[in-house]
Amino acid sequence: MRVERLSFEALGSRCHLLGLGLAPSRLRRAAGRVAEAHRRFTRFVPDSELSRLNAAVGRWVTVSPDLEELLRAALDAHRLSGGLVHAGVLPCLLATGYTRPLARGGPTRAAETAPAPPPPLPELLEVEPGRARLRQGGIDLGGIAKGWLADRLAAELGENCVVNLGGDLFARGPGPGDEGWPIGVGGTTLLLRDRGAATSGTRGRAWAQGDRRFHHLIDPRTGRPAESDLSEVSVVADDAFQAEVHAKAALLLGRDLAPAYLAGRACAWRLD
Amino acid sequence: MRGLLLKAAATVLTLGAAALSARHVTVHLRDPAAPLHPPVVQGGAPVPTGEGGSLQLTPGVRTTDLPPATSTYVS
Repeated sequence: MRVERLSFEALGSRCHLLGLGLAPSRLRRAAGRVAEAHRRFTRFVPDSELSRLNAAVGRWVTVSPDLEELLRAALDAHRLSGGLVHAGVLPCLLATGYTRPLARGGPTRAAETAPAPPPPLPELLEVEPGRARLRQGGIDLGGIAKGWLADRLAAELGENCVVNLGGDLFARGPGPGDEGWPIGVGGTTLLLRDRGAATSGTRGRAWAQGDRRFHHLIDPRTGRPAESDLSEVSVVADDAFQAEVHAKAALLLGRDLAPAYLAGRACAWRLD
Repeated sequence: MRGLLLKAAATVLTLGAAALSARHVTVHLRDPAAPLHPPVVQGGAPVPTGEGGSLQLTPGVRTTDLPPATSTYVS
């Protein structure tokens, strides 16, 4: 059987869908789901579902089942990472000047001082069936949405497929050679079957203003762009969501602590 | 006479069992240096990767010479 492929731009990055024996129309429908998810969950579009939640600080807002699930995933990510993966860092991100997509006009002027670090996410965000309330600040789902969506799309797409959304991917099934899908991780190829992989780094989405350097990965302990001795971490885990969460947490922890953190959580990891 | 034989046989059996037990526990001494748990299977040392950095694998993950179908990357 032949591997069908579809590549496209979505979620601010390059995405790839691969499936063994899948009709091209199924890949196109899945790509449509990614574009729809982007419209609903981006913070950059004022009338997106997420933006409506961010605009209603202090009030309960009706949310769709998908956004409810994604917000619960954000709380899970916070818990799994011991608070390091924090969807409530939006005010800190805006203070760096990352107020619009970097591909559309680039960052705006950064604030002179960084806001205070956010309180723990469960103190900011409440989620109940069908509704959510943001007590203060704002939510950015960019740190978890790609992995979360890759897992769900792979489950829908077929029993032998890869969903790669901006480098956060889930490889489902035995792949073309029955031993797993060959997936590149930092120049080495791994055979992955029913596993996720993700990479987090500070080299992409980085910019400078005068002598100040910024990137998009905020350390919730300081409220500022992370200062880590690692520039890139790739993780293979049970699914793309966990891989994405643990890659970010490991990068924030740095070279000395990352291996111990990842040892009980990941199947493979690359530190650079 | 018969009672004496029975007493003698019982004595021999008892002494024999005691001797065998003593030999068994002497041969099967507990090793005070033995680990409390079996060693955990390790994935080996990290290996350098083609694009820099080091890659740590656990036993369930294999590398291949096949070209990658797709890759994980920073976005």
